[in-house]
Amino acid sequence: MESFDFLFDPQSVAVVGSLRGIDSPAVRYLRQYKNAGFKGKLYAVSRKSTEHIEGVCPCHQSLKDIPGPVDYVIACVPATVLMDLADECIDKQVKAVHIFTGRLRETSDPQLERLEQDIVRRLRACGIRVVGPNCMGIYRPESGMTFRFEFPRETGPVAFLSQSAGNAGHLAGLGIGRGLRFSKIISYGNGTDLNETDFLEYLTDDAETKIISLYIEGVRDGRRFLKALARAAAKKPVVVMKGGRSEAGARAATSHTASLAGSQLSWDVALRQVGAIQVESIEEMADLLLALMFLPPAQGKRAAVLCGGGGDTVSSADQCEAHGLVVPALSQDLREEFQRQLPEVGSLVNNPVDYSALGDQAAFDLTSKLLARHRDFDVVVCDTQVVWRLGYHNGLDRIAAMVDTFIKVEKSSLKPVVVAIHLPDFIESAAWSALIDQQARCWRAGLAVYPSLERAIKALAGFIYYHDVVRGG
Amino acid sequence: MMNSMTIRMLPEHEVHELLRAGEINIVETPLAKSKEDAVIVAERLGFPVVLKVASPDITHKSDAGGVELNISGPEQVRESYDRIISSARKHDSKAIIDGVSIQKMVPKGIELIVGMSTDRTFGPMIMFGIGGVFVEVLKDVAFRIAPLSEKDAHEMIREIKGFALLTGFRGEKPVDVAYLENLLMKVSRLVEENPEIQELDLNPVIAYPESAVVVDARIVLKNSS
Repeated sequence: MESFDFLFDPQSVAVVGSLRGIDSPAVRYLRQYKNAGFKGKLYAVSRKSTEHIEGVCPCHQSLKDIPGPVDYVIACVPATVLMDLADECIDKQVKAVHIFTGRLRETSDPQLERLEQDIVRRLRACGIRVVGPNCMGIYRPESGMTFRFEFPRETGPVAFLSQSAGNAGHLAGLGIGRGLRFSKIISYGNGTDLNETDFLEYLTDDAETKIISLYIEGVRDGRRFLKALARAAAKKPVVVMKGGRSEAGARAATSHTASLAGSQLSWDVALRQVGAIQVESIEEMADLLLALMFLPPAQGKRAAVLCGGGGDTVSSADQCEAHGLVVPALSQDLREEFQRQLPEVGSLVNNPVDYSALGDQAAFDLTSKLLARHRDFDVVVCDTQVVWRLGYHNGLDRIAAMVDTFIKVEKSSLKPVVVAIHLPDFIESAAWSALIDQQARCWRAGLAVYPSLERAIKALAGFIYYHDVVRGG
Repeated sequence: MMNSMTIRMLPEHEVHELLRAGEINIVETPLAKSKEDAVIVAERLGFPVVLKVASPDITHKSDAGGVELNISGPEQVRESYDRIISSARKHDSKAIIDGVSIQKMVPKGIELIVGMSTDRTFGPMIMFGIGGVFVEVLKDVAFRIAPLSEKDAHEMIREIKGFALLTGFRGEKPVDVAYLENLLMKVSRLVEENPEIQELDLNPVIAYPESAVVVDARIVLKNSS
């Protein structure tokens, strides 16, 4: 695999485009790079001599005016001047060009399609690699490259590869507050030079990427892509969301096989065959990535469920079973243990644990610890029962106490533990932000935390599927 | 049927040649171009036999009244020949009819289907499942993208709901699953080596405790455009 250091760790970056207005793409890139602590040299290039960008970096009228080399160019210029810029890039001997500019091939206008081809071919002929066109490019916190202000400066183990950057923003938005951190996010747009398979092959061997996630609508070369995906999945967990599924398929068929295959989605077959984990939404992806990031390997699917009142215990057990988990009843030795340790309420302990039957935090604490450690259980599902607890005096403190218990459980059991901190739709903003703080406490302590019990269970089930079927099978 | 204009079926004898070259066991199916020819062929194969219309234009032979089973003697061969030709003519007056193809009846076994269709993203995709005339009603099939690994072949056979039928249902002897896995691998190799194949149906494949045999096969070629 060739090194892509010039893409992900450039020593100098020039952003080319109009600097007029706070929302101009070039201005956004420059300010974001500055904000993300880009370590290399940063330049603005704008043809209008009067334009400059205050307090960010020096501005030049053309690439050739920049003293010293430029590794990486971000092109935010209109399509009509892209070819001139390509020539400047060739003269300047840059290594890679990220073409932000859109409205090229994706318009289906043959003239623009040809222009895109010509520009990319010209750059390639001179040994310059191209990201895009029509994309947001690269986020790599380690080198301070980014395309969104809200993306964290902290690095992490997850790579996300996506045609569209909208999904990247969506994924990050759903996960950042719960500890989702990225090694790289790559939005590759039209993928005219570097495409999904090139990046997938790179990420498979990339030491800072431990988990790979992809959003895919279509691929250039399905056979090559699938081979690359199989190699990736053999090495690291790979989570895939396939967009545009509904249009797949139907064509008049002569054979029974083709007729049956028409109703079957080849993507489902292919992804399962190579051991990639398929998800249906970006939300499901964020939840599963968190499980893969935070949880130790699961040995099985028997869940201890640490829960709330009577109704909740039933519905949480139902949800576990609906997602393929098992919720075993207590064995005789555990029953006796509880009766010994908690003479008054020990006989009421069951799985799921009914907190309300135990009455106080100390009893719940002890019960949780004993259950989670026991050999009958492989995983632990925890619910903070937010709505119920908020109705009590000092409700938020009680929720914090539950989190204390779950953090202790996680530390002592060495098993996968998921925690639900439900964020209700109707809540005071102070309580909301206190709950967000509790989420942060969880992930800072190394727990996978979810905004609903259902999502926690679903993510855990996906995680177990990965260890059971993909790794074990 | 606008479609039939653009479909290229591989002629039956070439289907047989191709499958044999791929070491896939298919029931011998000689062509008889006349009634008397049919009698001679049937006697050589041994009764009872099956007669099927041989026409490049008729893809679903049963629908055209073009298949007759359990023909037990020379006179029945003659009668059956006439019936098949005339109902095929009735079904499609413009169809080219080469005669009938004849097979010795095979013993009862489990009817399966093995197939391939070309997916526009991933190329050849192999199918395995419960076969026979109800295949599209039961839809009990499993798919894998080719080329298959041995693990794929192993898994797809076990993935169908009717797998219990293969392992000795109601005191029957289990069928030769290893043979079926091997058959899937051969089909996978065959379609990889012959990229001009667009679709393939081996239906039914009759599975026995110690082997399996393809009774009918159909191959659609890619349009050369």
